[in-house]
Amino acid sequence: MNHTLALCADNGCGGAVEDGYCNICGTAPAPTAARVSTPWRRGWHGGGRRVEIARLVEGARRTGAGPPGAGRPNAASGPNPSGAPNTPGRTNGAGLSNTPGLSNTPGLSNAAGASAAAGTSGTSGPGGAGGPGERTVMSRRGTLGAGLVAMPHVPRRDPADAIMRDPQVPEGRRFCSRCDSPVGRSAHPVRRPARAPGPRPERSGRTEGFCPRCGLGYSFTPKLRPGDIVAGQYEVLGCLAHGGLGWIYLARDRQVGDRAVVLKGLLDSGDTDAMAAAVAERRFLATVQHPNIVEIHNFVEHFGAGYIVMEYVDGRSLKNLLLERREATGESLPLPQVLAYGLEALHALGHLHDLGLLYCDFKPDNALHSDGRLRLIDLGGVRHAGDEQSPIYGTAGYQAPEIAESGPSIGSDLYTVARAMAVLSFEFHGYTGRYRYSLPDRETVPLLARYESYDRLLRRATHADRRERFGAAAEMAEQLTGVLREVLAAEDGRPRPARSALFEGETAPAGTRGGLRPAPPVMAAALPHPRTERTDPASVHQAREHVERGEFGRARRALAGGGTDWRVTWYQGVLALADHDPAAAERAFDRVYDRFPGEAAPQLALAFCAELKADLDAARRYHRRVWRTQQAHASAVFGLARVSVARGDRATAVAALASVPTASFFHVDAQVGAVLAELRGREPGDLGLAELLTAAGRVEALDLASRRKRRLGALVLESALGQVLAGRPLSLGPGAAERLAADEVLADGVDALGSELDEHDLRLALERTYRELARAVDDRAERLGLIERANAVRPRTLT
Amino acid sequence: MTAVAGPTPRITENDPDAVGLPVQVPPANPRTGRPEGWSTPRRLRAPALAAALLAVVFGCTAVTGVTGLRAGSREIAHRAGPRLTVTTELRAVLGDLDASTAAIVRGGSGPAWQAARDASIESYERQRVQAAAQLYRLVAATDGEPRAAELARGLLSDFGRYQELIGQAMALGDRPLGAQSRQRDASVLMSTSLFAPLERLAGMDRDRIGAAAGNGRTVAALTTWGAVAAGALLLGTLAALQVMLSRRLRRRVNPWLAVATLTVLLLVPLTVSLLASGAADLREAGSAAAGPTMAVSAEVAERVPLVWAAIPPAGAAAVVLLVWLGLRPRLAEYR
Repeated sequence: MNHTLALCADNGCGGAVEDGYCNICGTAPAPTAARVSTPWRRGWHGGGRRVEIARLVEGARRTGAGPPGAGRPNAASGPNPSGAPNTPGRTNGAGLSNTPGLSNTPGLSNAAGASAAAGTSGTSGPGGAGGPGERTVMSRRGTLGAGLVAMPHVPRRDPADAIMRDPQVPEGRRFCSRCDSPVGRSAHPVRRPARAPGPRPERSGRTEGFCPRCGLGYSFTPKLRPGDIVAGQYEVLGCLAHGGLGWIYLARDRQVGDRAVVLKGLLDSGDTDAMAAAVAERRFLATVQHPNIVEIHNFVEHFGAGYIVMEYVDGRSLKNLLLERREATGESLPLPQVLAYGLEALHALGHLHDLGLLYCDFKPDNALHSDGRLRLIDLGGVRHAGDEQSPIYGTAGYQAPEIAESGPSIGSDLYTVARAMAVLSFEFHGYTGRYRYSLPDRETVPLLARYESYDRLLRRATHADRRERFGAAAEMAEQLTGVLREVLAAEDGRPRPARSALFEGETAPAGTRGGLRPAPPVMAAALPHPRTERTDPASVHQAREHVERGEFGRARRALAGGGTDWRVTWYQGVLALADHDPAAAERAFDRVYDRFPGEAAPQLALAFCAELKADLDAARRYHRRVWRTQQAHASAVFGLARVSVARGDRATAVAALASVPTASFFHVDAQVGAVLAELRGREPGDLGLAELLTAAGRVEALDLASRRKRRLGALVLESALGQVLAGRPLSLGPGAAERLAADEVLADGVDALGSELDEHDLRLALERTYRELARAVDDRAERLGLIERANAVRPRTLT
Repeated sequence: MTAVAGPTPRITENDPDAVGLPVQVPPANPRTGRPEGWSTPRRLRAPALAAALLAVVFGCTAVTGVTGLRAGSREIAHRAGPRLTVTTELRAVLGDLDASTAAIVRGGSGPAWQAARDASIESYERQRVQAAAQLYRLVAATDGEPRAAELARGLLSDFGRYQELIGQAMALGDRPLGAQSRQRDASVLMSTSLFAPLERLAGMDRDRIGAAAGNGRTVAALTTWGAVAAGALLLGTLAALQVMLSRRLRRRVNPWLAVATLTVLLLVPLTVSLLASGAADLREAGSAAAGPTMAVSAEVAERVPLVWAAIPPAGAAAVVLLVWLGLRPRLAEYR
């Protein structure tokens, strides 16, 4: 790069212009038209590669990209949700699609390593470097949301629009990279004679100079200009953003199909921390190959300055998405979307953890929603898990409390993901202050109050004790997926069944018959068993065997030794439930639920406990949540119906039971339960005609043994009779009463289509039904009762 | 009406879905499995049995009344009544006999006297045979009654002594004083040893007739009230049964029970009338004490119950049969 040394244009300043900026006052030169007209633009309007570029841009537009100039992607602007200072220019980039001839995987641009932006603290620069590894093309396009969430489309943008027209770092964001002191500010106004007209002018802050506090040199001036060729391969197109460790440039790889790449320069080349960070990126990131993590292509030098060459990621940072949504709707991001982001982030972090690396600085700024997936950028804080020397990067509000003492860990990484999800999902006021290491009470946050599992997941992931957090990203992702399924099911009512990795399926659901609350031992026996392996504690195996056989006493003795395994806690809860001690059982299941907030089994168990404690609201909540998400748990739907009826909400009970799919083993029982929920014990004045007809139709459609069907038919007829006696006109449709009575005994009046059933017909049908039932039973007392009822309801006759 | 308000639903073998129909299952004996308490069959059987029992009581009562009346009538018409007649006639014959003996012992001579005396003797002889015959009838009528038989035998003995005295008097016809003395002795014997016992025997028979008539009337009165009471209870029971059937089985009328009720309604006044009539005849016979009125009344009182006595028990049996016919199909429902 040519260094043209000239005097500063600012009057009274004796500084020299270096790289276009005064090395004393930092005055930036006026932008010229030539600089705005970037080589990219030149390529667009003419030149050898115009066609290819035009095709690329056109392709980007066809895929939904917004109009050119719609805004600089990834440029964080607008208010920070927490009120913390924004970090414009940090780790943002804009991109374009990949080169023609390759797959349509978008060319990705990114700014990695810009970790020293405002809000990010670092004690020293990351060290290490690594060359780019072999690139593996992995197609995970559109996987964001794990196939569960329909994610909003983030339009592609014209990479040219990502280039800054006037690449400057606002004075308010100029800090020394060593001591964080403000530098390059307009702190020294120009002295002028008092009689001089007009307002007293202020002198612009210097973009280059030395920190007045620690003496470290700084520069906020781009070192590369459009048209510069770096390492003989990368043609600089312009500046994308300014990060904590320097300017980020968009370039074109002239040797690899003109693909768009990002060059991340080191602003303060004399800064050892910055240099170390760059080296660290080079060292670690070359080994990282993951679709959710930005890819490092190369590390080059240009006139003594080092640059990392990374793929260009065309996307929007989560923070930007949040701010845009806040501005548009005043709301946070939808929870399913946030959970989908969290899942992707966990996948990425899990990959890093598998490589023995820690990300350390996950936050909404460092994740881009790009082309149907989430991409982690800014790997400047990545370090080895056992590294005790490298500087630790993190952001207030996201960083775990133990970082300063015990350093980062997998748990602290997962902590940052949970904190970021919290920030994205609700208005987390004070997340860098009052709630820097905690979460607000569930009751104060409607979202957390509504989604208890999500609340528990966040609280476990952000637990003050690192040992209480999730042990691995995969474990947290597993639970997060469960929570996501639960949330999605709650949003649209469609179940999201999935096989649990921790619990087996329900083998003997409780309370499927009669709509009656099962006995506690039956409830206990209905709960799913945790999956076990040979290596599990013997007490767990023994407890399971005994519980399966209903030998609760022996199971209790097997667990007498206690243990820390969660399955011991689970079985302790099961035994307490069987012992009619729902309070103790609830405590145990609550611990399991805390541990596995994405699992349905603990919620089912808590529903049982709440039922036994007569806490119908809680029981209904848990039952409904389980059934809504996992229709494999038949106990839940029957419990929901049971509790709903107890609360007087028969409609919910019927709707729940009616939702049991036809293919379910318990479909018939559910249909029967729906009829019972609709009619049993119901006052005629409380029963609507439509409900009665629905129940009648349900009974008619059921393929039941005659004895069961006759009883249900009698129930319908009794209800119908009640309606008639209450003076409410009734029509059961053509021949319905006959079929319900399973006989042709009804009078002629019923034969007419849709005719009203009169009392006589109903009584006659009921009498016949009861007599048939009486003939079918063996128990003399019951037979007597049935005949009594037959005589009691029969129409009054002369003889 | 709460259409579906039944007992607390629970899952049973017969009701696997706990439908909870409004069926009240009576508690069953755990040992036998039979329902306990007052189930409808029991509520029907109990009044039916009561009705049958009352019908039987009614019939028995009527039979008892009729039998009592017949026993009194038989006593009057066949035993005490005829003997009293014999005694009365014997008394008259003996009086005529004694009167005729005075002419036999009257002193005199001549053919006219002799002719008169022969005629007197012939009359005596005729009356003596008649008296003896009556006396033998009396003795026969007292058979089976020791006291009366003893009196009758005493009469027979004294009548022999009387004849002996009269014979002696007749043998002393040529000695009028001796004959008259014997005739006076015979008259004294007649008045002291024959007329007095005859009076006692007549008194005994009158007492028996009065007792028979009184007893018959008493029995008639008692059985009449008994029949009325049983009939009323029976009617009440049948009515209650009818109401119960109407209420529990929603059947307004049971025709068999209705016929049974009608039967009882007819039977009771008939029986009362029958007993009252018999009692009136008996009373009349008792009041006549002797003579043809008594005999006719007694015979009527005996004959009429014989004709009608079968009606009350037959009616009662019919009532029982009707109740059984009326309840059999209803009870069969519960088997």
